[in-house]
Amino acid sequence: MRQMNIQDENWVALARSGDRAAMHELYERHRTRIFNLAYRYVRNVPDAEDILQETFIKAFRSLEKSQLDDETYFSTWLYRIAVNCAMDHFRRQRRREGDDGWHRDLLASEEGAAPLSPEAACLQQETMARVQQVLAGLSSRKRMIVVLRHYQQLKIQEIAGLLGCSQGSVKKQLFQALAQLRVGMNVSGGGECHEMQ
Amino acid sequence: MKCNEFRDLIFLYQDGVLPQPEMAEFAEHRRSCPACAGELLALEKAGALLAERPAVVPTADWQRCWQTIAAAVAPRPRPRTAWLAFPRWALVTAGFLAFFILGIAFARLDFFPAKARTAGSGEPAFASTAQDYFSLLQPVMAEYGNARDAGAPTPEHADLVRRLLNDLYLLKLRAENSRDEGLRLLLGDVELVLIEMAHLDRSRPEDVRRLSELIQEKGIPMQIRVFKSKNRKITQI
Repeated sequence: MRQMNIQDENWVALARSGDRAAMHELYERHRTRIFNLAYRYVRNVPDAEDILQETFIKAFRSLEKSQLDDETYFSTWLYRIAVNCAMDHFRRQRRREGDDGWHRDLLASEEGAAPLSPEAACLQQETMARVQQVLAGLSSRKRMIVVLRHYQQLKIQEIAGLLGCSQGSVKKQLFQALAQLRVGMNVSGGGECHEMQ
Repeated sequence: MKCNEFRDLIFLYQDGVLPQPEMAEFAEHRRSCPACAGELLALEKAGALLAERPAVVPTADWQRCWQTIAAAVAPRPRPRTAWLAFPRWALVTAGFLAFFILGIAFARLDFFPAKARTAGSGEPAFASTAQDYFSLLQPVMAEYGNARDAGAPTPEHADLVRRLLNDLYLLKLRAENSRDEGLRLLLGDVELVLIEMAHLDRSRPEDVRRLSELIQEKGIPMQIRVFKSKNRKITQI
């Protein structure tokens, strides 16, 4: 993720001076990745679109104020903004609607799945519902760590860099989140269950 | 390797970033410790549960999103306030006029201070003849001396004395060509008295006494008499 497309540098320099075409080019280049992250975090398209828009608006406004020191890391910087926007969105929505509303959104979102046999579809739907139930109960940060780790395939070090915390903290929260998932899903590995303190 | 070290390395192992010596120790511990092996398996199962979710991510309405973003970051024209909306030439003209009028006012103050102050101020204009001058000098000195004991602020009286001095210098210039030697001497003596008055420290009785002596010494037809009335001193000229 950190390996930034070098051509971004030029577009970023132009966008910084207010060039609308350069902004559009940066949007085209990064929109899918940001939207994927947002969607996997909030599990519904309207909210993910909101996060996408908020991320780019914040980024372009900050660019004009020259808050990005190193243009080479625009991609990482943008991703960090997206992570923060998504977590803020999560907190706002949770405050507004409570856990129930959030949970309802998550369960209603699994609509794009490939068609399965009726039994398999039923089983998978039940499993997913339980997984979502557990994920909906996580804090915004733990949920983001799970999303970054298991859906965005980021390494611990990268997650720590994005969230601005230590690797130890990321590992601890990931352990806790997965432990909650294991308990919720009644998963065991056959041995004694440890939990990282 | 201990169990807590093993658990600390699980995610790095999954990331494939464990260095070779630690990787060997990790594998060895996994073989020898069923609890840690079970822990790793459980974590992998939990991860697999998450991975079972459909990987299909719908697409956004990219065009609409971009329009919202573009509208939000578009530079907004600043509303012009009413006075700025006024034609620029009118502002410049008004500025020049104001500057011109102020310049004239300051010039009058600087070059004709006495006229500017007396005009309409209600203060008596100082006479330009010796006779008028002395008729004005006496009450001013009396007022000045009385104010000394009343504890009133001095700037007004000091100003009066300075103006008397100014007029005195004019009189002296005129008296240069006069045949009246006595007048010139008197004006010189009055000048000394006025200078003393201008520097008079009214909190010190000896200053007043010195002034009184000076007036007597110079033979100026005035007297300063200091007497006490109840709780304050009164100076009478």
